[in-house]
Amino acid sequence: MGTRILKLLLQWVAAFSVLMLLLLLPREVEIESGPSGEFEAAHYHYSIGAHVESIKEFFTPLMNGEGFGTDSYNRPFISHAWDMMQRSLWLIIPAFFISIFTGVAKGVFDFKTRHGKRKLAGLQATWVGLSVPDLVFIIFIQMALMYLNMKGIITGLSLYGAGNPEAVVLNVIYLSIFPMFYLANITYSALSDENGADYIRTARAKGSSSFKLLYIHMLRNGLAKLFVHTNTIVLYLLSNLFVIEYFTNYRGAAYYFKEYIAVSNVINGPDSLLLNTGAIAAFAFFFTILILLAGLVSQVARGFLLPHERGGNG
Amino acid sequence: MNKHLTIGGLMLAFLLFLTFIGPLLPVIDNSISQEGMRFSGGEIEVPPFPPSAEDPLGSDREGRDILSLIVAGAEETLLVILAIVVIRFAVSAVLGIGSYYSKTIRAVLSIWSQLFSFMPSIFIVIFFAGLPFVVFSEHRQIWMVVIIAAVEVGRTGDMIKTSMEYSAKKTFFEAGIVSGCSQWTLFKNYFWPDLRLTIVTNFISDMGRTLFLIAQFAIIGVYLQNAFWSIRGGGVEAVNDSFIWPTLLQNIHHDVFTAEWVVLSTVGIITFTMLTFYLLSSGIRRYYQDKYHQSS
Repeated sequence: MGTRILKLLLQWVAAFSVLMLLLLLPREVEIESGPSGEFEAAHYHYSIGAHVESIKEFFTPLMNGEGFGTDSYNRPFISHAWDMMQRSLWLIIPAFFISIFTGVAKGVFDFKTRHGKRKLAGLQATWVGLSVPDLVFIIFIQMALMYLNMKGIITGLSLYGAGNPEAVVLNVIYLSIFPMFYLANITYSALSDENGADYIRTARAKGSSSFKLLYIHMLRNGLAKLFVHTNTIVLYLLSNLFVIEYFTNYRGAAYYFKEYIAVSNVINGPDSLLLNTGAIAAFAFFFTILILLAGLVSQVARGFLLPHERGGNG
Repeated sequence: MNKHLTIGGLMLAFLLFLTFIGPLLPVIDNSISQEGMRFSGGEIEVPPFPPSAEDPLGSDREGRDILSLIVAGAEETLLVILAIVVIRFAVSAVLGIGSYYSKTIRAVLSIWSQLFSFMPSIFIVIFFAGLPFVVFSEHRQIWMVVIIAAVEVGRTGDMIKTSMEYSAKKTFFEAGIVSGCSQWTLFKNYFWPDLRLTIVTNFISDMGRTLFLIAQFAIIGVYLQNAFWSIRGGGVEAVNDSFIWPTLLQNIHHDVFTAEWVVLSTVGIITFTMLTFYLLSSGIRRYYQDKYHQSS
């Protein structure tokens, strides 16, 4: 386990460095204007010298202990990013655990009901959840709530912006929809794979109850396949966080990160495409750390939960 | 009967009909004309117009008929996602298959997938979309297609590699080695049948995923194609100038309250297309599984 954790840390350092290197690409453009100031053409030239210069410019304040710089209100970017990250964590952490628990539960349910009529609520519902984009569910939930509001049944909910509990609850639900179905599908196939295994037949022959078979034997061993997907789920949560925070005006880390990383649509000078590298570096730091932590947690959890990892020397 | 394959096939036929025969239908306004206002029963209406006999699916904020916009955008939408997935799978097939044979290629694939595993692909694409040479490029759409294809090469390449390794562990593969097959025969007869299924089914379902990814970009205001409009006082503004479906979602914040038909029809056609690809993908998987079980 130790070497795996060390490897993960090294991977993070490498990935973060490459991201920073890309972020510090020189971005000045030359704009050619006509006689009355109208736009004619734009030119861009990459030079290693300019790239090195922009890296130096970025690191000088960092070395002087000024951190990633400050925004227009003189707040340091790093603390601003951390505040916004906390807001987003209120969505990510509950969504992560809710999607894992409900997803595994749904997978077990799908497995138990795989024959017979209840399959409709089991496997087939999961299939629909996987193939229909979660945006559809989100739009329908929003429209339903709006309809209820117009009819005066549920009023006074404020679904937009950050800071009100109902917006947090709804956003957590929006975020968990897809990962839940995704995990349900993986749990189901992990359980089906274990089903025919020899050790299950032995346990059944020795008279273990079906409850014990499913929860103690099959799920424990099937978990190995789930841990492979932790990274995918965290990545999915983060990309969807982006869309959901933007869609519901929840001003968290993903909302601001997008504001900083997307260039302006209006281009009127050589500096129009410049990015606020300090702010982006601060946000990117927290996002990559979050993914790193998720990876570490899944490594540690593997070590404790998986039967063959606990006893073995891997 | 293979229900998924049949329904998926019919849905695909409908999509192709919409794309190629759609523009010839009389209800479709191929010039995508804008309409500022409309008189009905002595009253003036301004766009967005709700669904009516004139605009079966309503109109957008510029008075353009949504149904016509969907038909006009169909070909480009399908081509863009096809291009993305073709590039992605061509590169990942080389890396995935190659990493079974060569250590260097394995290292390249592993670096690629680890680099992108610390950042959601949506962030990386937005970042690249803002690079100066991508913003001003005449071939911005090609750049964007390549970038969107590249960020997920790690994932699909790993998948192909895993499929190879899985086959290599099986007893039938050992039998092939023992009986003295050449590397080429081993690949053609032992790896390829399983690999082909993995590639084909994932290729088709990736087309659905990619469409959804582009829709997500449109919601947050990142487009594949730009035109530049001069603005007063010098400078230009980059605006979207393509009819690709997801761009209909650019006003989703307002439309979801006031012109829900725009959102519903766009999300409807995107969902329909995604369902088509998922049904086809699972139908094909089932088709091969049935065939395999019959012959064994």
